[in-house]
Amino acid sequence: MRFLHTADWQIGMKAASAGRAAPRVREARFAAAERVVALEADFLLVAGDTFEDNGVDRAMVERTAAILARFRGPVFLLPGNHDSLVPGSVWDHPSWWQYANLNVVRAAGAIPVPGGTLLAAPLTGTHSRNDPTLWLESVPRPPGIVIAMSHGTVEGIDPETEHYPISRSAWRRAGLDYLALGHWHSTAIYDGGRMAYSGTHETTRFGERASGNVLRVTLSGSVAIETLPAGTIRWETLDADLRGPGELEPLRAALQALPDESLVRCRLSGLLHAGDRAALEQLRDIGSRFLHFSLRTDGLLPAAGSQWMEELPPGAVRAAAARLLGAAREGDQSASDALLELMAFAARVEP
Amino acid sequence: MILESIHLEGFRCFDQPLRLDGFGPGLNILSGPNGSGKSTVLRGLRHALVDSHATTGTAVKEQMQPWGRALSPRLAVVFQNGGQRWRVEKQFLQSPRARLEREENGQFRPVAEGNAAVQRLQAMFHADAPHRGLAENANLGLLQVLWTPQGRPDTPDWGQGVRAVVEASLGAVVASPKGRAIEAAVQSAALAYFTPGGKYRPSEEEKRLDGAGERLTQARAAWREASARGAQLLAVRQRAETEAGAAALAETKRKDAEARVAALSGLREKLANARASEATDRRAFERLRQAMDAIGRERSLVKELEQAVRRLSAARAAIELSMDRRADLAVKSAEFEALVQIGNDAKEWMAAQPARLIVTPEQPIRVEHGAGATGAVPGQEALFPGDGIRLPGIARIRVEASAAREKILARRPEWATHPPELELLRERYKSMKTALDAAKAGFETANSAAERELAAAETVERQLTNELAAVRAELTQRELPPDLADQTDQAAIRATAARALAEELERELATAGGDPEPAVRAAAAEERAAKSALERTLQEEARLEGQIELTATQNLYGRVTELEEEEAVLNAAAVRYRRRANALQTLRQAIAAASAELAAALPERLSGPVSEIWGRLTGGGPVALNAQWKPAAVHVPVDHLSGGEAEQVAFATRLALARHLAREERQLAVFDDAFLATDAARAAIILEILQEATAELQILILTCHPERYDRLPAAVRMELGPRY
Repeated sequence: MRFLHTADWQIGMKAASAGRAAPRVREARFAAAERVVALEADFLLVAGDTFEDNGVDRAMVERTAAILARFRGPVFLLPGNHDSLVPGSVWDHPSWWQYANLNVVRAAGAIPVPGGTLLAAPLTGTHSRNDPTLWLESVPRPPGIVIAMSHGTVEGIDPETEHYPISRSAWRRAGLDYLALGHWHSTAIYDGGRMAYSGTHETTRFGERASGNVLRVTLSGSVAIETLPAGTIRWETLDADLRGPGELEPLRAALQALPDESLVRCRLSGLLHAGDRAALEQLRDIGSRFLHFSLRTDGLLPAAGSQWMEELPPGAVRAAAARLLGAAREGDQSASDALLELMAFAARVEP
Repeated sequence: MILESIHLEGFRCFDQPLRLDGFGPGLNILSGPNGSGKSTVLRGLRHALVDSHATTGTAVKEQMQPWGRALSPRLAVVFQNGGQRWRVEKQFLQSPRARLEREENGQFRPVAEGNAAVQRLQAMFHADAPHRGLAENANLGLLQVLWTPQGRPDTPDWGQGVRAVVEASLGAVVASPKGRAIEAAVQSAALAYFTPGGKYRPSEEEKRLDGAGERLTQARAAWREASARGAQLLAVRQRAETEAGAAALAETKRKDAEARVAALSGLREKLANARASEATDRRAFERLRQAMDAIGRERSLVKELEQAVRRLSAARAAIELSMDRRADLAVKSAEFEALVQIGNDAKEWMAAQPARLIVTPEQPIRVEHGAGATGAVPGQEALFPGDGIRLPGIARIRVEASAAREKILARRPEWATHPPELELLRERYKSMKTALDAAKAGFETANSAAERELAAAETVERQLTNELAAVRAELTQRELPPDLADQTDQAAIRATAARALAEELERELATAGGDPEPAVRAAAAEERAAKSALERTLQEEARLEGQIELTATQNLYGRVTELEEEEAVLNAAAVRYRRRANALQTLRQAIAAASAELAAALPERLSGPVSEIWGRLTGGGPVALNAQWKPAAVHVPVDHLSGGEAEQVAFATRLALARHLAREERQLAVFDDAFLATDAARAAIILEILQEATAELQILILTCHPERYDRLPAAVRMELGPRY
């Protein structure tokens, strides 16, 4: 048995953190889906959250179904917590009946798949404190290879939160050969490959550690998992805590190394030396080529005692700088920003 | 600025053109009689440099146009400023226009037209644009200090522009040109975020955020409403199921109630029938029972009669028996009489028997007979009265006794061998006597009872015979069936059964809970309500399904997504904008605060030059300036000064400030009849001071007393003639 395991496509997702690149981010999810269905396998499992919400544009539903229909084998789709099986959900769309190879899991039960049996149950709500795999333990185990597909949170989170908690030993307790999971967007493989999160096929937000993959699972007594990249857009967070002069250089180099198809969030803190002010402006220039670039300097403070302050003209301006530095050291963000502005003015204005 | 020439045309008293050329860089005296237009020249200069050509209105006309002439006032001024020569031309009211020219290569070339020209000029003099109409004194900027208006030279509340300029001028003493340039750059940058009045200018993104937020709120509400419909539909479907069950139940209940009505109706009918049957059967039974009773009574009477007959026979038999007893009694009476005779004989016998006397003192004498029997001798007591015992007659007794015996033996020969035993005879007597008495009593009792019984039996027998005759007569009248008993039994069974049925039906009716019709109506109402609720729910279900189908095509989530992203973009931009605005404001305020700190030290620094001028004029001590740079006190509070001294301390203050303003560039200072209250001696000193001030200032004195300035030979003098 060889199959693809993917999940959390989140088609139609919001990408407010991507700024103006949000439509591009949404579009990239379709392109990644095309790459997934082009892979070779006996069948394809989509373990929930194919869509971001049951209210997504129906044109997206049609387009997703059309992409999935191009997979050369049966496709099994599990309604997750984002696209739960409720009246009026995306799963009511006629597209799901239009293509013979698309199978939406609409009721808990055993489904024959090439080489074995798939056990799956759709999610019918956004939140629940119930383990969506518990029912698997009471199902008579069919002969041959038995796999299951579910959607929820494997441990590591407060069980009181309503995120469909799943036991760490769910696959073993249910006597499964493999348990395909969705919900977490990063790839995570448990117990030598008997249970896994494929993660989302295309990264959805900053901070995801190992997303943008699809898993190809081969079962024949033993289990073998291939982690195949599918996503393209890089979501990068670059933080730097500046102390000495010239410390922006590594950041600049890191930015330059990133591809254009990147969403970059850059956060600076620490002390900005007068000599690095130009380098700071350079960062903005470099960032302009990315899909989205944000540079936060909230935590940045002009380095005190540096030459630029001593070089300020005597009188009100210099006195104001001293006043602002005191306030900035007390945590006054506006004073800190004002000081950075003054630094820029002092550099620009000729006597 | 340094004034070179001024041209006025169609302006107030100058309906004909007036051109004043040749103002010198030092002292200038423009003189003329009252009404010659000196102050009008100064006013024209002010309008040309500060006011907008586009100003309109009645007040403007009154202040500008010649009286009774609808002319368009035209003003032109040539002046130096910032090391360059400028010419400004303005026409007011009709076809208003403004042009600012700068001399380049010996020729004036336009640098600004219209409002731009006005603003450029205002900027030169740090003047403010008035809210409307012509400029007030407070809008004049540097000119508020430099130009002393006609009359008493006071020290007004310096306008904000004046204060800013003078502070800057004074601050320049300690600030480098770069500091001023930085301040100017900060101010300039801040003007993108704040109005000159300091009001925050929201960014385009901020302005759009409100609308975007509103749209997003609406879109979210629509999306939430649409999202909730799935759950609503589920709930409605579940409710429909429940209501369908309730409707079916209500229908069943209604049918049951109707069936109960029918059943009760049947029950009542059955009950009525049962009661009718019971009555019929009971009547039949009663009749039969009465017949049976009559028969029974006949039988009973027959039996009783038989008993009475038997009783009669018994009574008669008892009477016969009684007769037998009477015969027997007669025999027994004869036997008893015989026994009595024997007894009497025996007594005699005994009396005739030898006897042994038993005499015991103090006791009656007893005779002991031969048979051993003992007994008292009757009458012997009398024989032994008292103490003397005598036994006379014993022998005689014995003789008599023997004779008596013989006599008795004659009747009773057997006694010779078998003498009677008196005690036995007595016993026998007693026994026979008792038996005879009992027999007599028994006979009498039995006989009496038998006779009574016989009488009673005969009575009963007669009564019964009569009753039997009556019963038989009654029975004869009834037509009795042959199976009367069976029929009676059957009638009783039927009546009992009918009664049992009726009672059962009554119990059933009682447990049926009264009138079932209200229950039927209630059940029917419940059914209607349940079906109506179900109908409404089904309609709601259909409506929700329709809405869900519709909203599925509306891409509400996509709309929310777009708006949230737009809001995020706008918000990020707005945050950046506001943050920069805050930074610039903070920077500006910090510089202003630092400047204010420096400026706070200025009054003291200003008071030196003011005190110097004041000292020269009056010989008085130092002048104290307040924070508004107004003289507060000399040797006395300024409001205690005379009119002339007040005029002089104001002059000293203005001139000292004007010298500071002119530190970077020469400036025109104007005094319009400003020393009217000053005496001649101090006026002479003022002229000296003004003469000295020409080192930094171009001075223009407007006066109707040119002779007072005769001691200023270097002054350029101009004279205006009377205007009418």
